[in-house]
Amino acid sequence: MMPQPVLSDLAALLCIASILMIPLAVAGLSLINTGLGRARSASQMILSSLCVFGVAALVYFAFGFAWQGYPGGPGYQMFVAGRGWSWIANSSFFLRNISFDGSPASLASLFGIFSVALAAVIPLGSGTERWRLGAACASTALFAGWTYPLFAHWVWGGGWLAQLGTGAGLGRGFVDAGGSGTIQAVGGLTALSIAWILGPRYGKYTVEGMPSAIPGHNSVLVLFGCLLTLIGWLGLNSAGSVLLNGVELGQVIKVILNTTLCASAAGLMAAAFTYVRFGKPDASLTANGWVGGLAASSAACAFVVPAEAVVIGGIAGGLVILSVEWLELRLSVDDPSGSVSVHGVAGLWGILAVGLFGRFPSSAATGASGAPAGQWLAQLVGIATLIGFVLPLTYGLNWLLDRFYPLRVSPEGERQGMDLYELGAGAYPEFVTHSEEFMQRKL
Amino acid sequence: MKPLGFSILLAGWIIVCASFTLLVPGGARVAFLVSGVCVEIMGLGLVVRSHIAPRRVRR
Repeated sequence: MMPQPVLSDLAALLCIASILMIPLAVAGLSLINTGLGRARSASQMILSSLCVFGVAALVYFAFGFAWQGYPGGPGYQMFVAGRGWSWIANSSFFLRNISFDGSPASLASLFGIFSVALAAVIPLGSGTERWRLGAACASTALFAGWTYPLFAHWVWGGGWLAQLGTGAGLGRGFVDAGGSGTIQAVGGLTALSIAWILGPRYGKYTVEGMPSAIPGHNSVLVLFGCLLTLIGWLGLNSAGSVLLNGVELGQVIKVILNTTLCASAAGLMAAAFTYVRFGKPDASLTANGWVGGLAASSAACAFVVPAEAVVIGGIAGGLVILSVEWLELRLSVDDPSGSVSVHGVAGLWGILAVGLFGRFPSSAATGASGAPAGQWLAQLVGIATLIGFVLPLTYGLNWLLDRFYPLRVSPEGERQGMDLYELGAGAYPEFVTHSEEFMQRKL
Repeated sequence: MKPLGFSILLAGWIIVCASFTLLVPGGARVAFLVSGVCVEIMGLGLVVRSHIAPRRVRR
């Protein structure tokens, strides 16, 4: 069992302040997802974000945190070759065994509720304009109650991935300070599953298989969302580093600096990349690059120097642009917000970056002390777990849900737009786009 | 093809897990681990291909 971390009062206060910033990242992603969809589904998208936040928080409170647990908490061990590996926590449901006194366990539960909400909003972007509200909530319940807590336990709850350092001699074990894997990659792979199960939007691909451009309706929302996500990510990375990785308070300055530099480099790389390719910088792809930089920054933000954060961000920006294009053109994946590339691909790159660039101070309480030999192998095991276990799990759960409760809206609903079909009214009633906007609301 | 692809993904992950739980640190362990990742890449390729084909039929 991993030792329970100890936090000073000042560290606990900083954690609370940082955790309170995380909802701004959720707000930012919601605005980005809304702006990158068409106007006729804007209201449904932002309502879906709100409902998904609520479902994720409630389910995580009821069951999720009990499966996730915290370092030093109770858990089930699996014994392989004479060594115990913690595979799931055994805390009480409904947070009954948590004393809300600023203890690391209580802070971990607070951090977890906002983190799971952030992760749950990510797949909404790939299901834009065709994912029913009820189905999104049901899928979120599975995500927040099982998929996310299981992987979060392995990384942040003292589970087997965190034990790789002490148990198998792989560096410090799997390290993910702010959630490049636990939040971003898990959310991004779920987004891929959703995009696969739902299929592309009507009219997205021609009979010959060529994709048609369906531009987002509001780039102002998208770019303002990017600024909000930065603030949220500063809190996410700071709280994760201090609370779950034992990073000293003074190092938070480096965390904030690295997060900002990583996003800046990624955003500028994306703008430059699109300028070179298309003659003008593309607003939505630049936004994707920016958020991709934030996703990649999370894992390594406390363990690299600022110059390395710039390199990580630059590579993330380029990867996101190439990935968006590749998924749409070659793999026929209709992902209107680029969630798979932004959170999945950039998140996986962020995990790998810890193995390539990470340097660990002796005070970081993430496992064994000394030089992190084999760290890249620990990170590779984490990536292999995400692709080899989490992707089949999240796909299987959503596929099963789709059998009983179809995820995709009917063709009629897709033709009308999600606002009118599911909510009975559009987001922008004063802007007449076509006559169907004025159909009677069903009472 | 989809179930086969996902099965290969899981098989690759099990190989990865077996490498660090059953083998001592050294070259064999690294080779085993990287082999597991390669098996996963094959499985992922199959899963991706299986999702492209039906979409073209639907269109």
